[in-house]
Amino acid sequence: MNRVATCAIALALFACGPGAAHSAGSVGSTGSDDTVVQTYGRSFHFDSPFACDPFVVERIVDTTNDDAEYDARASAGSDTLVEQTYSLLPHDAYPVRLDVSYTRGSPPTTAALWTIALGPHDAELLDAHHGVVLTVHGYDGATPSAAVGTATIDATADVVADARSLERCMLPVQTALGFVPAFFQNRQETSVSGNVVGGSEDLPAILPAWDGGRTILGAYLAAAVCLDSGDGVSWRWKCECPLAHDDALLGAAIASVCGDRTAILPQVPGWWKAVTP
Amino acid sequence: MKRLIAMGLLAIVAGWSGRAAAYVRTRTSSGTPIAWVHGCLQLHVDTTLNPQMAADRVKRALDGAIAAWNGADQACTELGLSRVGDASDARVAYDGKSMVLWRLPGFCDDPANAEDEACLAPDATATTTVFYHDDPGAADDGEIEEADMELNAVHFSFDDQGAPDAIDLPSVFAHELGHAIGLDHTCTTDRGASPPVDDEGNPVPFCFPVAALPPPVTSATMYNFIVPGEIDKRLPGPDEQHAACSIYAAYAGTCSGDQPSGGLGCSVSDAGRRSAAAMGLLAFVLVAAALVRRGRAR
Repeated sequence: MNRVATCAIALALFACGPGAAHSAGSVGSTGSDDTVVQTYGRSFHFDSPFACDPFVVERIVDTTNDDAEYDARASAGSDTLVEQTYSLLPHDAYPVRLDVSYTRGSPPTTAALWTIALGPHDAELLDAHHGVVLTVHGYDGATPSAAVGTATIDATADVVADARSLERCMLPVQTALGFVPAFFQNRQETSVSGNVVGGSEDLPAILPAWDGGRTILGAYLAAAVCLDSGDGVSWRWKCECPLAHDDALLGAAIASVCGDRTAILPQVPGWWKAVTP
Repeated sequence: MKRLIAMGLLAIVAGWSGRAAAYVRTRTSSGTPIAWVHGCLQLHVDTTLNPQMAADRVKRALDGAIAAWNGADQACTELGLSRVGDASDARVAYDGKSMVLWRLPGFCDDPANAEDEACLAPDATATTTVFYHDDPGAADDGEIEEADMELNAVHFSFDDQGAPDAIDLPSVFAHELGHAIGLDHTCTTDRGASPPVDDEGNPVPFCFPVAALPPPVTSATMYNFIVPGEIDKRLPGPDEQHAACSIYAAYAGTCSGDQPSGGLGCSVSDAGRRSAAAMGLLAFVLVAAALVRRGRAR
């Protein structure tokens, strides 16, 4: 990955030789690094937001371009490896993204499943070819509405069940997998060792225009619990109330389903709290 | 003479059989690929030590990677990479001195270091910052002047014996030296921009999902990601060797030993340039001759 920090600093260049003078010009610099893959290769148990027992293979966090990929199986016995790539695209109308694909078979083949694209107020579910399956307006408010697109996703396939199950695990918030990348909190990477979300809040926002009623993590969780395929083919926005979550995570209550629920488990970490950019 | 023959033979092989793999080059703001032209990479090792690894182990790992890139098994080019000595008060800056330096625990707790790559990219085991001329349209556009390597001991443990939970330092040096000579990663993580292209003009694949990446991308020494305990990328692979040969076949930079701070540690004589031009011409002649023979054989 490149952090192209083109300095374009006008500096007097040195000549190709010790100490000699050289004509002035611009010097660019490029930082290229070697990112570590965090490997787990074992089962985890998580209690919230839903109880789940995923087999997590590895995680790659690219803090330069704000991508995080989690490779996991819904259970230790699953033959399907699901790859979830969470990312921020600051210049996109739907800047918060989750791309889901899977790998299975021998030799293994990888195929895209769907993309969830989230703006601060509206969201889209896209098929593997980026056709619109469902558009949701006002998902961060009390009365969201959904419009069905022309694309479809066959929700009867077992791989879809595996992928949906892993989405509900919300691997990005599971601290058992290591630090939670700061970009999930709409923050540029902090310099604090470990870069745990919850670091300095005077760091600039990655998405300064994010004015939704939910945080980025809240948007992801809303998609995980609200995208539903009742008949296996047609998708709709129908929210299921998570077993344990904090409205502060979502930034607003999930409309209608969770009702007047007030149960907030005390172990909910503080970094789930909403952040106003 | 042996070198000239080897260069010609390599060019013949490239022309006849196609390439084993593509490679990706780092480019300036205007798209010019960067490379050393007149100078050469002479690395100094920071005297601030990592308590985890004795200095001689670090230097041995660096020397091994340098030797690999210099081409013990590839007579096509002489990159002239070298380790020239130690330096104190090292920093990542355009100061005429290419450095290898450790970022140790506590480094990122100092607000003054907040913008350092080791702190901005905590998942990166090492970062190489390359300084080059960024003068669109100028003759020296893309010419590398300096490269500084930071080793992230803030967040990672290093080893050179294959410890399963540690980052293999020889592998890291092999990768970072690739950056230092102008190579980029084999996949891109930047979704927002047009993807870079490889030497064949093909778009570089997006990294995620990594399971979908073809083996030539993931097996390359310049692949973006490293797994703790991974030790099989201590050498430039076929694509990196091909890159070094292609980019630096006519390289004329010569090095004159350790230079004082402020100098760039390099020089090129007119004789060197003439020699390079002659070698390039001879290589071209050899390739042309080979192609003629090949054509006649059909």
